[in-house]
Amino acid sequence: MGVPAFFRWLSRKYPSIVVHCVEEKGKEYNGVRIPVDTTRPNPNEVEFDNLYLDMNGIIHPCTHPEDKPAPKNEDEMMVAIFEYIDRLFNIVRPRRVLYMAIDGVAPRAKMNQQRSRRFRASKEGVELTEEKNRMREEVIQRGGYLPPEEVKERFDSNCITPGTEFMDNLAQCLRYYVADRLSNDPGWKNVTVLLSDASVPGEGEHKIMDYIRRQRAQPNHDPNTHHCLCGADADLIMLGLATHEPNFTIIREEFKPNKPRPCALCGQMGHELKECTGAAREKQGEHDEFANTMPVSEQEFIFIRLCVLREYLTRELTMSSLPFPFDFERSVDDWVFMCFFVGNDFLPHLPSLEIREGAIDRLVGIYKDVVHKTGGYLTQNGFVNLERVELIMQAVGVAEDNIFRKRKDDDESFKRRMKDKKKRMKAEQQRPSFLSSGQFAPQALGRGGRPEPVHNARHQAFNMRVQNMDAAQSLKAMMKNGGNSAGPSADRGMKRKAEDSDSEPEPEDNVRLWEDGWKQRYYKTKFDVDATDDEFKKKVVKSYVEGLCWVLRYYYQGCASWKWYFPFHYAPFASDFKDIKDMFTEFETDTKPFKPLEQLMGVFPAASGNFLPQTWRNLMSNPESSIIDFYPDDFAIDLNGKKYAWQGVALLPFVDERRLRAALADVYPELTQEEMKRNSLGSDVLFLGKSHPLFDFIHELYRTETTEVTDIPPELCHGILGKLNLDQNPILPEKTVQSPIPALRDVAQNSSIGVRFRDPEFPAGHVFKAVMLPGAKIPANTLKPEDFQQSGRQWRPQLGFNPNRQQAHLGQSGQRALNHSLGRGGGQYSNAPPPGNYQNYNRGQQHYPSPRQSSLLGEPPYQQPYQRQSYGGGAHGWGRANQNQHNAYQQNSNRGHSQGGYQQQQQQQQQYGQYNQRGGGGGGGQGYNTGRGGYPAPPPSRRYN
Amino acid sequence: MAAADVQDFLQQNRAEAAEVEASRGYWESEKHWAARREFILRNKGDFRPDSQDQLLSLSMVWANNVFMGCRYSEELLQRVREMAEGIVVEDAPVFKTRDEIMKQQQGRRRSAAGAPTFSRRGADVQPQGRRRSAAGAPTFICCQNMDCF
Repeated sequence: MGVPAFFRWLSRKYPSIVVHCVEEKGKEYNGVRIPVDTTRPNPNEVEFDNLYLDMNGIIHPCTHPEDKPAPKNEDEMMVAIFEYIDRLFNIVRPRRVLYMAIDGVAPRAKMNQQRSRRFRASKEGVELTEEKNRMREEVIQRGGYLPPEEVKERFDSNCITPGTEFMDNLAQCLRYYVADRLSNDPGWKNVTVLLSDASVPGEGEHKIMDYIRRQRAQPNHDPNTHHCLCGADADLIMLGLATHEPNFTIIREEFKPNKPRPCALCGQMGHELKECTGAAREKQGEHDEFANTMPVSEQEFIFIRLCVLREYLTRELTMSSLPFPFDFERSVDDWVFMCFFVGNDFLPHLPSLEIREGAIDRLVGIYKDVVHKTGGYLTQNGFVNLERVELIMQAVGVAEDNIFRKRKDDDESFKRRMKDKKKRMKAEQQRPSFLSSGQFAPQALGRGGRPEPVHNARHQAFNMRVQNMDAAQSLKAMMKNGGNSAGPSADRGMKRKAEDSDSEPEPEDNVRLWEDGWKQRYYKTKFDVDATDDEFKKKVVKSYVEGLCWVLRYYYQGCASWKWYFPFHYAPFASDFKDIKDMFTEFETDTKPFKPLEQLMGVFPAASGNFLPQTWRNLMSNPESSIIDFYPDDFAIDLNGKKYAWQGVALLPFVDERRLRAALADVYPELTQEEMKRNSLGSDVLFLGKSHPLFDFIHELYRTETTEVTDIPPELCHGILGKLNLDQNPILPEKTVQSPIPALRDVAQNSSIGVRFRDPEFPAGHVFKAVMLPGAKIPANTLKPEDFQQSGRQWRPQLGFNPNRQQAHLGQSGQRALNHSLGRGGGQYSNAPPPGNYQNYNRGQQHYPSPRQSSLLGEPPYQQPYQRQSYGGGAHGWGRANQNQHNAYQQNSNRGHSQGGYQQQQQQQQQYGQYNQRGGGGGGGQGYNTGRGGYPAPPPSRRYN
Repeated sequence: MAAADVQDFLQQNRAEAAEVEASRGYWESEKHWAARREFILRNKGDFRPDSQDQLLSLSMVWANNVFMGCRYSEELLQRVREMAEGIVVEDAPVFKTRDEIMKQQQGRRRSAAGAPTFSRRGADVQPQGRRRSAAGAPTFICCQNMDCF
């Protein structure tokens, strides 16, 4: 979803939805890499069944990364993609299905956004190259040093669009990758792999949703499947909620703002391209041993637990005394719908609803107010009740005036604050914060005069104190009055003009939404129509209403119309939504998506024409072309009241589908065989390894050369249904899979098989129900119960997936190692203190448990006795560590039986007590122990509840 | 052909009027469409029936340039300007294209290079002397570091 702020808002408001991933890293011994064994239980203490990859979120960072040097060629990019998938597979460890979806041709509704991104990307690419060349020359002229320019082709990220050669290669590479892993990686052994490449129409995440939706609509679906969806788009959260599956988790890269990037020119960190001076490279580490490691940490991943978000939403949305029965699942759907007002890929957001200004909270508030009047929910199964929506819109419309005025006020006061802050910083910078005066004043040496001896020091000190009080007062006054009446001392030595040169020039805003007449000005400026033109306004509103219906349907039922799109660059006001009830009836049925090359013609600027056949390319640049108007060389960008330029609206013309098709009809015959293949619609492919129960079934299909479409027997594949169809150029066992990448070896011992796959089909007009399936078990609550009593018991937040997670402990030897390397005394062996001191000594150095642990426990209940143990306790570290691991795995294998896990811990608790006793009795330090009494076993209630 | 003439013409040639009307874009306001319709009608005779799409395309080139701020090659713009000669568009909006903004920014940066205190953030995009029309004209600013996917 085109709302970058959405995830930030969500994770701040609902912090417990985020869980950091535990990632086991592969080890390296003597230069040999030992891969992680992914057949072992998931270290995140949860087992996932299905992993879905929205591949475009992987392809982009792997082909043109922002935080490291770009790969040199296409082969390196492919390897980077493989490694990225391996990483995700290792973290998530799916046990049943891995679904990889690459964006195919998107619905027309998305084309405007794609066009604007690609037109911009093309221009930026050229500008960056120019800037680089210019800076390079400048730096070299000044005598700086730059590494020689690497010979690498400029990668045009626009090629990540269905229908290009790059995407075709990628599909080939992924087939090879899957065959290789299925044959060689034990973790993949029983996984069903589905690959939906760019030749299958539909956006990646929506192909995934379609798959989930269709699976859960058939009777063999396991309602407790644990889904994990990978991708950074905020709309994945909406999509996940829209499935109404109880176990749905999203995995994404952790967003770290202001990550340092290497300079594009010299490759060093710490400055931008514009500031590059070509300075010699600094040595990294004492012997330059870190030369090739970036000082940035590797991108980490986080899980977003939708079941926790559902818990939060339950609290937020539950309403009592409704005129109709409350249904949480329905209210979630309404919540998802309202989030679309704030922004989505298909519609511009309403001017009054800004996520940063708490628009969603406002909407929820209005929703709860209005729902009493509406007499029911706004949506059902992805169909919108417009009458009720109008009530919501009118309520927003009433507040619109105030929202705009408040926005202006906030903006102004923010600017004022920033200005004041800058001023203060400057004042502080120009002189020390405190300077003694009078006789104590510092004096420059070597100026002739000698410092006088101090007379009457007491009196002088008194004067200084008084002065100080004055200064404090004036500082207070300054802060109160916004810096205008700063005391005489505060302003000293400050140059007036400095503050003006620093203030950012404001982009002119002709709409001035905060002043009367905003509506007229908005329509005049954005649409170039008079406010009296109600006909036109209605047209915009009608399109927007259609859009809302289309988007919701897209999320809940799939693409209703491949043709529909929003034909304006701006949204109407909420207050304009009047009489919308009859504005929408039904979409045109039986619409077809564009063919891949047609879509390329629709979204590429002429500068990216090299991805198209010569005659097609010609249509983009020839002045005689009958579609030349789609391809402007340059276009206007409207900041639209936003602060940041990249949020601006690119004013690009819309594509006339009829004219596009007519123009292409003439050049279609010129396509080569290869291009025709790229232009055709493809199919999903299903891959399996030899030990999969379905393997023999598919192998048999190939042996008998069955031509008809065959259903998957659900009992062979975890209840997954679908239709199988033989592949033209299949991956078959005992048939070498050739590597499309020179650096990688062919799969000579292939034991995987591939077959075309189609989602189960439903009759036209089938409505997928947005409900929880019968038999679905809702996972245990994670949030602190609202009625949780403070009395005595302490609430311990759950940090991972496992409610009974083992706390991390450091054994004694670990403590010792830590102390040693921190230089905190030598530990017990190296520096044994006299017995009398021992206790104090130990208390002084205490322990250094992980901060997470100590903050959780308040005071770690049993660390202390532990620490005080005698020498004999040295064995504990090992014993405990083993015990821990053992336990964790057992718990995992007992998934779903949390009771079992608990018991084990109890058991361990007892063992722990035994250990303590044994340690106390067996060690040579008996003497120490006697003075301090026993070792109380930690109270179980504190640890486990 | 003035606006009144256009009306007369359309009333006399119903069939042609309907044909032209079919090529109106949904997003086009009355004002924009009136201008483009005039453009089409003026030049219709110069295009063979089978190359009417080219005329439509040229009319869009002209309209996009005037009403949306799009730029095309000089050759093409010259051509549509000639074809549009005599069409009166009142109070046309003024735009700044992306390239213009980038150039202006770069010019500033270069002239300011070497100056000790110089703010790199934000750009003064006040189009000095470029503004042709009165209030109601939007101001546009460039985009830097787009999100790229």
